[in-house]
Amino acid sequence: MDRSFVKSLREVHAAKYAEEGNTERAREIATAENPYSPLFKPREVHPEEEPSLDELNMFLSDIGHDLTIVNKELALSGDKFKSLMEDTKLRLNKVQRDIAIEEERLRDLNMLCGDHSEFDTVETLTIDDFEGGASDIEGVFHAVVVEDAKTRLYVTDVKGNGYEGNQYVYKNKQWLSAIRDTTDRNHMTDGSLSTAFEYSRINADESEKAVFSLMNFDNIEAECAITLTASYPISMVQVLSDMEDIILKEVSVSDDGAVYRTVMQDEIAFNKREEIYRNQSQTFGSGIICFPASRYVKLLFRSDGYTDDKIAFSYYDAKM
Amino acid sequence: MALNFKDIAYTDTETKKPEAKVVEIKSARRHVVRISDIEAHRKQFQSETKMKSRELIRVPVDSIALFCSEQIPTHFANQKYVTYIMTVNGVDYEIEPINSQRAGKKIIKHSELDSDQPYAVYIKESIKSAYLTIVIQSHGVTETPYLSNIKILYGRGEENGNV
Repeated sequence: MDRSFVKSLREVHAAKYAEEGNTERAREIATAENPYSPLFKPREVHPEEEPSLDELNMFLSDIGHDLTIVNKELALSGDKFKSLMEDTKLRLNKVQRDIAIEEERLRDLNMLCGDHSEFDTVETLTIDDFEGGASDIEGVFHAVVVEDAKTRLYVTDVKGNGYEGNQYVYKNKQWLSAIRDTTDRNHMTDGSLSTAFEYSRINADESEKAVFSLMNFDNIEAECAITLTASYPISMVQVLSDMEDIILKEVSVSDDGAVYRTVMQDEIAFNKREEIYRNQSQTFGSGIICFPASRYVKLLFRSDGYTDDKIAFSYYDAKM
Repeated sequence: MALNFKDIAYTDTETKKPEAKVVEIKSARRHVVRISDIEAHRKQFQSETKMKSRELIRVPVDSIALFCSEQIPTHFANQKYVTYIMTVNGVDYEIEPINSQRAGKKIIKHSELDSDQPYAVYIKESIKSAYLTIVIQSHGVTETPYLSNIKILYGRGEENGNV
């Protein structure tokens, strides 16, 4: 770590004492054996001693100097840790990418060379393998973009057969919602992947004795219709989710936000990459959903399976 | 006159505070739709985009095909939005991805025999050079088809036990 600033700050501090005529203190600071030792030296004061204002000012000035150095050192260390973290994250991302590429290669060999026995090698092409004007969004190719403006999206409504958020999930003796709240609809449009919105439905067996109001006693999947309003007409959204088992059931659009017309009704597991071997007509895993240009879009999603979350509820025992 | 009262009685009974009790539901299953982010862009696209691959062949092969996922929205007019041209040994062949439902040539294959198959193009020499060109037509100015998982399948024929 570059600590030259400690020396220069010390010199400035010594010069200040010299200017004030306190040459002894200035010399003491300038010729100290350890240039990194704190300037402030604690001194015991007798209760009956008359306080010296000059001495008190000197102590405060020394403490101020030492704190400035501590502050700078902490800032430097913080920066170093930050870059170390970022570097580690980049390396881990690369490892993750390499593993994903290898997994895909093996899957390709199994699926494609299994189906078409005359082939024994598969190679995936990326944007780097092409020249020309192609554009891509994380491996998805499309026509060259001549103008791109990000459009603000607003979630205007969420309706479904369950509830919003991750309430009732109990993990490590605490409520998950207290650590990671997923009720906020704005999490869907805040541009951050570290936040998320969840729509849940809890099903249980009828034999359960303790129940709460949001519990269901069937096997119906969670379904929710998310209504989005864009500041300008849009013809594509990219839905990002870390869940593979999420089904897009229906897409509807509207010109006025009142009357919607359905433009897609086929159920697709749009985030499930394995689907590429069964269905050619989607870019599975990309999250891209297309529709006629509109300002109002309604996306109907449903779950496909359930999580391994522990479900619980709390009540107050008010017996006296 | 003012009356001033004072409490001189008290009780030993401790007031119990209500306690929160957590009850786990063993058979409960949470079905969930989780969305991290939804992004939208207002883009304008070039009417025609042509992209050409690098040389695909390192070692001569006997068959070659393309695998590709296409997302062409259903509201697009009924016309061809994506064209795939495989240039094999200097000759252009218009092909369709092997996973496509559309009719067309899907495999280019080296064979000494004269054969006519609706899904294959037979050539009389091994494949020593191949380039893939993809032409994408946009739909109006603001919409485009999307392609992903562009994969090339190679077969080495008899050497590998396959014909």
